[in-house]
Amino acid sequence: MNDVYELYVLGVLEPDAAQAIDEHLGDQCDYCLQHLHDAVLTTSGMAALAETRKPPKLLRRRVLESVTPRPSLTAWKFWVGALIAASVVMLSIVAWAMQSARTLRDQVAGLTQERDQLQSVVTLLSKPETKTVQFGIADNRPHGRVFLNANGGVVFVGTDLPQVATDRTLELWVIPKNGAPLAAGIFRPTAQGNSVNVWNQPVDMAQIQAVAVTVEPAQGSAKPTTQPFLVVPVG
Amino acid sequence: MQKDSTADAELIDRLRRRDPEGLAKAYDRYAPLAYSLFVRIIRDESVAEDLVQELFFRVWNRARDFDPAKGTLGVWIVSIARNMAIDHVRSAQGRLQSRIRPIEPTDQLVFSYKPIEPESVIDNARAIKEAFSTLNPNQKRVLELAYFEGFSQTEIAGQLQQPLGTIKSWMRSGLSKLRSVIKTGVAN
Ligand SMILES: [Zn+2]
Repeated sequence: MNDVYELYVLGVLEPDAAQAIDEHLGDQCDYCLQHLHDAVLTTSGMAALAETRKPPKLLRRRVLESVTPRPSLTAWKFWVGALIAASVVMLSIVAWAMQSARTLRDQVAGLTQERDQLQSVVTLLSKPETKTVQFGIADNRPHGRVFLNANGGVVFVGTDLPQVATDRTLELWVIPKNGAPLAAGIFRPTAQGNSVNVWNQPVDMAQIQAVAVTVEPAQGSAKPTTQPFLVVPVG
Repeated sequence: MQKDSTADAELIDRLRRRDPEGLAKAYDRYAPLAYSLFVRIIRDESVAEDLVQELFFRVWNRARDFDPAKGTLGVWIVSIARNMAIDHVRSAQGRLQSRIRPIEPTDQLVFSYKPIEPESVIDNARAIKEAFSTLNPNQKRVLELAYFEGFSQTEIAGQLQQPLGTIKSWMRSGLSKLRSVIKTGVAN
């Protein structure tokens, strides 16, 4: 048996010998092809003579990623996805900025309102005809003052007021001697239970029997829907 | 043997269908052998890694040329790997590349010639390894120099300071023993 086939497959034949086999194989000699096939098996088996080494774990991933690149459709989707994600972030920022602006505007409006209220209170308090009614005395129970002025309206200053659910509000009522209670403004106490509510309406001092506070739905009510937890007689 | 080559045919089938899982399985089966071979021949782990990547890139791109009925994926991978490694060493050393069998004839042999029966390169390699252990040191030495270093018989003669005829004789007897294992394997 000639070893020329293995030597040929190994590539260790001298160039002229190798070239002769190349030319011969061009003729599709079955005998030689069969022997070359066996020679390939023999020589490929010699790979096992190499000391066994474990390929690094990362190599597997590298290989798989390099030969299975993301198809262009996926790349396209990826970029559109990235664009959408970026847009969402953008929108979020815009929304946040708008929300911030709104909050700021609200805060400014709130401050303006508070300032106006304070001015009203100061104005009211400074007037000699303003009637002051103190209510409650003990801490931990609602207490405070109600200021009444015929032209300025009613100012309610309360402490230790109850907290209300987010979908609820406190509502101040001016209760005349005759007729239905008048809605005098909604307000939410601070976390400390403090609140000032100003009702800027001329009032008929002689006709006011009391002021009261009820818990109402967040937007307030035209008529009290619950029993008042606080009634301050002012008569 | 039968079991492994059946699995090889399945691998080829998946590769032809461009199923990445097929490549992952081919990698799991043959990358250790190919990597070991690259490291042994080139003696540089990072180059070996690059060549493993290139090798499986070729497997992926040549998948259509494989025939599941022939079950020769492993033979092809190992043959190509060895040629790639020798090519690399030779070009790194500036040695002539004319003697190495270009990859295409090996391709042709593996792709075009139906084996007598399906074989598994890994089982085959195991048998070769066993047979190799029965060779005498001279036979081993010349075959290692040819397979792992890509030396011609003349170069081996120069390296071992032996007459060319002696080298040829050692090689012939060594290859004969290995070949008989393949024959026996096929006969079984
Ligand atoms: Zn022939």
